[in-house]
Amino acid sequence: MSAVAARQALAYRRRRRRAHRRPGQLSDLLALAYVMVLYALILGWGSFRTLRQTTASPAEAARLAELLARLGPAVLLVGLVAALRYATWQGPVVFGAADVQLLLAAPLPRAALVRPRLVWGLGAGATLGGLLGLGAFLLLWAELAVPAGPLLAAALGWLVEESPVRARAVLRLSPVGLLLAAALPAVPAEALWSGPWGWAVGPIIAAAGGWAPGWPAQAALLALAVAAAVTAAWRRAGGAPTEELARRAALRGGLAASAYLLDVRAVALLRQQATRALLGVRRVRLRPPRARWLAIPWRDTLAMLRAPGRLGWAAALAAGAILAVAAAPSRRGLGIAAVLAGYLAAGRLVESIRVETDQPDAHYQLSWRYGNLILLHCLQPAVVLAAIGSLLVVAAWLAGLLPTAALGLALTGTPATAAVLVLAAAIAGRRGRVPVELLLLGDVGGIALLLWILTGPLLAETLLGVPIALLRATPTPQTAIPAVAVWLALVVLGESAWLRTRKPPS
Amino acid sequence: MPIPAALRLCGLRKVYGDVVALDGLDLEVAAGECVALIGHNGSGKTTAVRLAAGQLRPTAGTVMVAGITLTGAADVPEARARLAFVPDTPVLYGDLTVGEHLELVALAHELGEQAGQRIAVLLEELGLSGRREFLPGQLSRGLRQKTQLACALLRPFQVLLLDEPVVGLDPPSQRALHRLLRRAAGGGAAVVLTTHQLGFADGLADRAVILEEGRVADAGAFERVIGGAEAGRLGLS
Repeated sequence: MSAVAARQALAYRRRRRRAHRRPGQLSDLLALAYVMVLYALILGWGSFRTLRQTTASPAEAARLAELLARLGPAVLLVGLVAALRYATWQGPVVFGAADVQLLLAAPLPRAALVRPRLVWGLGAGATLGGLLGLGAFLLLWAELAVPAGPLLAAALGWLVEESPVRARAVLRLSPVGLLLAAALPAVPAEALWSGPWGWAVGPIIAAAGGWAPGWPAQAALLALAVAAAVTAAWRRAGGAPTEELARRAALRGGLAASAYLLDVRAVALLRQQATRALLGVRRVRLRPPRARWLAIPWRDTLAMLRAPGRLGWAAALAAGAILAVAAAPSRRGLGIAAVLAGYLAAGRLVESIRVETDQPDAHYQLSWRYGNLILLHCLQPAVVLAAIGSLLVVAAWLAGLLPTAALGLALTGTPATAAVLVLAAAIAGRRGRVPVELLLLGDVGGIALLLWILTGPLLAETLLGVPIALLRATPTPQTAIPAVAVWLALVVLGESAWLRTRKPPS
Repeated sequence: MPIPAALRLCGLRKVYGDVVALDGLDLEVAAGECVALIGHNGSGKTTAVRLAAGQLRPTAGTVMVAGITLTGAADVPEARARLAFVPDTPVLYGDLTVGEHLELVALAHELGEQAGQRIAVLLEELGLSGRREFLPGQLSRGLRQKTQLACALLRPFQVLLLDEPVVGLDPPSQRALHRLLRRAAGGGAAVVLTTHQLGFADGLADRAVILEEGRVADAGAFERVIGGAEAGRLGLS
């Protein structure tokens, strides 16, 4: 069986697909492409003119270069980790379910079936890189594009997709990558040599007039890395097991439908399912409690122990929040960012509430009213977040970031803050999925959708913004403590009362 | 030199995380023989046929099709050329008609000039002649299942694997499939099917293998196994 047969089969498939295109479909697509190109040209030209007239001065470019040197490698490393994680469940080459059953099961050389799609994947990476390069050109007034990074990510993505062993390694090691990314801004000079994420930044800094010694070597190293990755991906095009390609094909249908409906929850569930298929589920046992009211916290603790990644993410986000507050307590922007990070940490811990709303009828098996059940689901996350927060506060104090005078106040405030954040996350999470009606609202649909998504963070910012403002408004924080305590108690009671009256989503 | 079995599964094991779906399955199926895999839901039947079809990679053990090892290397076109597999759920292209699906399979398997005649005969036998120009979206589940069966039966194969092939088929279609599978086995193919419908396997399967929680609970001649103590204990007799 030859590659010619594979090409013939693929060509037949394309021909027949075209033949079954509904009348007007092609012209619709062309019209859409025309509009998009038109918008891109208008916006691109507008941005170019604006940047030329405002920020693209040499001083601004130098400032951007300095910022790029500090943050660029970390951002690129996070992007690479994200791309590789994406490749563990989708990736640059994804077949349809019918392709798996009819074409991949045929005695055709697999490489001949994979390579046309791989070319598209690599092309998409190169195009994205080209656009980023254009952005760099506009911002830095530099002449060097950065198409290499996404191209490298696409090639490495296939190598991950092609081997379940590599996919498992990516899932297990990505927290290390993120920790490395968090550490890179502290050592900007070393970061530029730490890997492809640094090599890609050096030449741009140099082109922008910044200080980046050895950038030609970095550019050469990057070119070598990209060439090696693309060559390896091309050579290993036939190596992917059917099981891996079938797993991605099965997920693709659900992913496309969920993305079309902006159903973020469904996408998260698909990703979770894919991760479980690779890593399995941890078999953890926990003795059931005797008290009835502890049944839900027990079930939530079990779920958390079986997915410890959630705890890790919550801890990392909470650490970011506490670091931001401890480092610069007077900066308003950092305060807002800290509340957001705290809210996101709480959001990672209330997964059981989302599971409950995924299948609202399941609660009829239990003896609690729906509202009470949701409230019980808040207990364990609140305790866990308070414990994480308290440990981090002590760590910040030990590191000298928090003055001793503020330690008592911080430790007292942490459980109440954790409760407010968890209840806010529960209020947002218990609504279930994005209602389809929002998408049918026409022009205001986008705003309604945005508000729907931002309800939780806005609630948390508002509810915690008041005590933060109270603490800032008084010369010594101690004088504001009674008012803050009353406010937090009222908020917790109010949120709990509101949740108790909720009914299951229809 | 002994003739290799058409299909040989040695110590086949599949583990998902902590869950052992199949635990050390050994099975040899000779050319012209039909074996039915029987068992409760979750007993490992689907995992076994998917492993045999190369759709899953075993945690341990090997799959050999006509003497060619399918496991290990990802791309073994020689083994796939000898193997046809029908999954339990019909998977078709939404934008190809029934006839075009078969033409695509004919192209992918390089069937050449003979394909047209074979397609027409197969469509007739499966009662799909009148649906040749229909898209999958215009077909019932049973008709989609028959289209998938036609795709598998169109090409030459030495091993035919079917996962719950009769689900969604009406009684006449089940009888037609029964005939086609008997003919395939009569023509020298090794046929392995999973089914909950013992009536369908009766008169078709030479041997039965009862799986229970991933392990072989009983195996042997179909009538003996189905009338045996294990089948009785599991409520499968």
